Amino acid sequence: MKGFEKTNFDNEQIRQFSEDFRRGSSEAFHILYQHYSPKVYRFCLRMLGNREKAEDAFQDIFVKVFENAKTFRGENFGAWVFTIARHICLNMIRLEKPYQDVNENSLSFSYVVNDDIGMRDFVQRAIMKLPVSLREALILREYEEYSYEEIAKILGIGLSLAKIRVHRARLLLKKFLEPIAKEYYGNR
Amino acid sequence: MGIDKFINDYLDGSITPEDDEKFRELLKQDPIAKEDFDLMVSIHSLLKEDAESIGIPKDLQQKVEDRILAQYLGISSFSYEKNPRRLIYSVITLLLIFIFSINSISDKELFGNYFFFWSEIAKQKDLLISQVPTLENQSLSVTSGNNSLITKVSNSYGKTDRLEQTTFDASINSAVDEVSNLRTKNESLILVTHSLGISNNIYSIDAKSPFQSHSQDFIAYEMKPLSLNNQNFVQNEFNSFQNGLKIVENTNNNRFGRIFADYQTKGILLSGFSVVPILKFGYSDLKIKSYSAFSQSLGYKISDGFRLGLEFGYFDFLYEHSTTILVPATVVEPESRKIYTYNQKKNKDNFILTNGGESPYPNFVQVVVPVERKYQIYWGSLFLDYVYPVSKYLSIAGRLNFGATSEGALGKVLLITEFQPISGIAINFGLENKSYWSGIGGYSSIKNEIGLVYGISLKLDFE
Repeated sequence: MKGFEKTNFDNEQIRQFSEDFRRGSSEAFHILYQHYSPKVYRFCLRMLGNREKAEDAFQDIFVKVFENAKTFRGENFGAWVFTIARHICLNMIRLEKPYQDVNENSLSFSYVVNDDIGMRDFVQRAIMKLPVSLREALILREYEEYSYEEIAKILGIGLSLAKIRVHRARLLLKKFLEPIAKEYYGNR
Repeated sequence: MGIDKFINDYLDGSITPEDDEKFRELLKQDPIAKEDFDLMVSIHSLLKEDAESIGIPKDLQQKVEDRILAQYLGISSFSYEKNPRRLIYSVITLLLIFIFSINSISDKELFGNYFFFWSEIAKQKDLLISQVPTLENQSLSVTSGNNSLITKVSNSYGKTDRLEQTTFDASINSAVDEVSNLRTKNESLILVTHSLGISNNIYSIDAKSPFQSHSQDFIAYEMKPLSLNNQNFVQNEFNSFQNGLKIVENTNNNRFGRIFADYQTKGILLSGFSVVPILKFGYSDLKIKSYSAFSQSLGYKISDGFRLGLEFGYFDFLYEHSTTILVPATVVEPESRKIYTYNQKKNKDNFILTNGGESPYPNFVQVVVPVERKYQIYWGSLFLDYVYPVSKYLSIAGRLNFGATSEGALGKVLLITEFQPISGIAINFGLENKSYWSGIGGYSSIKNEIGLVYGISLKLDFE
């Protein structure tokens, strides 16, 4: 075989593949896996903040997706996958240490940022400082660009609460990153 | 509306034209708000850059795909040998057998309990005495060679009274042998030979072979005197009476219904069957690698020979079957190219299909996968049994099933033996012919299978 090139899909194609997957098509699963695996991995990485954990979670998520294919009702494959992804990530976080409320005022950074890689590292650190409930909402909105309706569905909360969480996460993130961002953009 | 709300709506792209106008005006007038806005936009951009910078490791994506494919092909997680269902069913069956066993009255206990029989004789003796005047005044028929008296008593077990003396005056000279005429439910029958001039004696009890009369099973017990006041008289009497004193017990009233098997009473049957397939039809060129079927049934005797019930369980297959998966790719040099030979003996080749204009998925190529696993659930069926007793320990049953699986209707004919070596438990062997709809191989059709059936049954009979 020569010259394989991966392709992207529009929403209508995704919807069709989701429908095929619901009917038991292994081909559709394969395509959806190719399409969603980068997004899911990104979600895991930012939720867990650690590459090894993200890889473990990623494996568990898609194996579970495959095993639970019969429970998929065919509405929104992406939301369904991210619901599973969220549960697995939350389980890993809970197993690691009991949930603790974050004292927002205690968060601070004392590093000097010199390059893009360093800045992204700080972004990840700041995201990890967010409470889990705000973190997952922010990642789904800013990284995966889901609508608030989809976020509400994935998180199992109301639409207004989803908006509030994203808004609050942004404000917290601004608070965490303000000194570094000013310095970073001031140096550019 | 506050600056934060404006910024939030702006970042979400949901700010209205009116709010946008106000927001711009606010930014012009308030440098701190402008600074906040710039910072939020910068962070927003940082997050987008961060999102774009994260890529899934290639080896991880491939590794997980391989793992799922292996699972899909039944190589790892769907190992047939590791299927725990059979073990669970077996444990439940053994548990049920154990529970019923410890609650039953065993044959050994019944046969070995002389106190039990002595107490029965004591009770029956009193009743006999009370019955004598009545019977004496009746005109009873006499049969040659088996002069006997028949009466009936209520059946009540469990006491340990010991009969050491018999005092009744047996002056009855005539009797009948129409056992069934006097028999009613929940009563035992006592058959007594005539002219029992025995008194103040101790008896031994010996069980005789069971016998049948008018479709009822009985066990006869012979009572022999151990110490006799009038040896010559009693000996002569016994010689002439052939079997001495007989007590005939209706065996219908034991805890499990009967000491020996029979199929005349009502009762419940719990069975667990497994099937070993012998012949299969309708599978086309599919190669079945393994097959497993297990069913449980609950039957109720609706008459002497018939049983009605429900059966449910599972059967599943592991079979070779070619299917295709789509790989998101384009072929630079479009042409049909053989990549895998499914069955060289049958000369069947499979090809990668090009992604030309005719393909329903123009952005993919199709790749053949050779093995697929199929699991089909046996939802249940209604069955009707006809049971023909061959002997005390062996019966033959025919069963007709109609039901459904997860993929369509099912019909089954079963011929099975019921060997019952001990009370309440039967071992089953037989043959079945099963027809059912199945979609294995990618198309739905009727499959047929002849198999060897084996299993175990619990029988709880009651009058």
